[in-house]
Amino acid sequence: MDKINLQYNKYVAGKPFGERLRKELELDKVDFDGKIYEVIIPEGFSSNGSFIEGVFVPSVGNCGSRAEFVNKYQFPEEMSEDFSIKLEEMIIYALRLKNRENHG
Amino acid sequence: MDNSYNNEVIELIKSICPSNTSTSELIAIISALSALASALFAGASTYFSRQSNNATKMQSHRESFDKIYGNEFEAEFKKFKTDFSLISAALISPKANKAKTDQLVIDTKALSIDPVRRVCNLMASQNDDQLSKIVDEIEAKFEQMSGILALRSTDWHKKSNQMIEDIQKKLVSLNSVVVQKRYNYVP
Repeated sequence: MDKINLQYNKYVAGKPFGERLRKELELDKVDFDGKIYEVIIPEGFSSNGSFIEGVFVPSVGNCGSRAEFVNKYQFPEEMSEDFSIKLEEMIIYALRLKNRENHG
Repeated sequence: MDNSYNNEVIELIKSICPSNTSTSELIAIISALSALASALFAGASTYFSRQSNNATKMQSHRESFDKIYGNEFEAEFKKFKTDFSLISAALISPKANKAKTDQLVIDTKALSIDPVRRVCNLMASQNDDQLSKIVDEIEAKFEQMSGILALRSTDWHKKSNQMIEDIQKKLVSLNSVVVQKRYNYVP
């Protein structure tokens, strides 16, 4: 399985920083390549919600649904509860944005 | 009103009247316009006062709604959503082992929507089952989800996440209906 690595082993914050990582990982292309990826979260990595939004919000929209997103980007089982709640909030937010765009 | 303003108004009226308009005619026109202005002012005052009374009445209706149903609904709904988000967050990773999904089945069964249902039943008027229909649909999706997790058949991860998205949409609908009820509430 192909992998994408969140790269940082420290606390990272901010949407622009997340968007920068998204660009480095070329997620705008990856979202549409039909492959499944294992998400690698380096030891020591932690972030705020905005960073996660910067990285993944467009991917949720590009995948089209929660189920497609969590199937394409396979997050590890050993995530902290804090990180998984932030991911959960990001997915809900991204789907709301997508829904709003679909309804003009 | 000061004299200069009055003079300006008189000059303006003179300028739009034919040049042969007599002084007595001008006075009559000015009186008529003055009466019209007073009537318009009185009408506008009544309109805005009625608008303001309506807004106050609606605000008071909403406060009553909140006291009887709204605050309780908000508290129960928030609690349900928080507990549900712990389950849905635990299902982001497809790598959960059997023990973990078994635990999630227990958590899903333990998460009861009954407190939300009770408030919804209270706020539903006769012949209005919109809220209880949505709550029933949420409950049915929960049962389906715990079945999927218990069986762990093919695509259990994708299917359970589809259920989560469906439940989240239903929760948004439920909240929208309650917001609408609050808006239209008359004690």
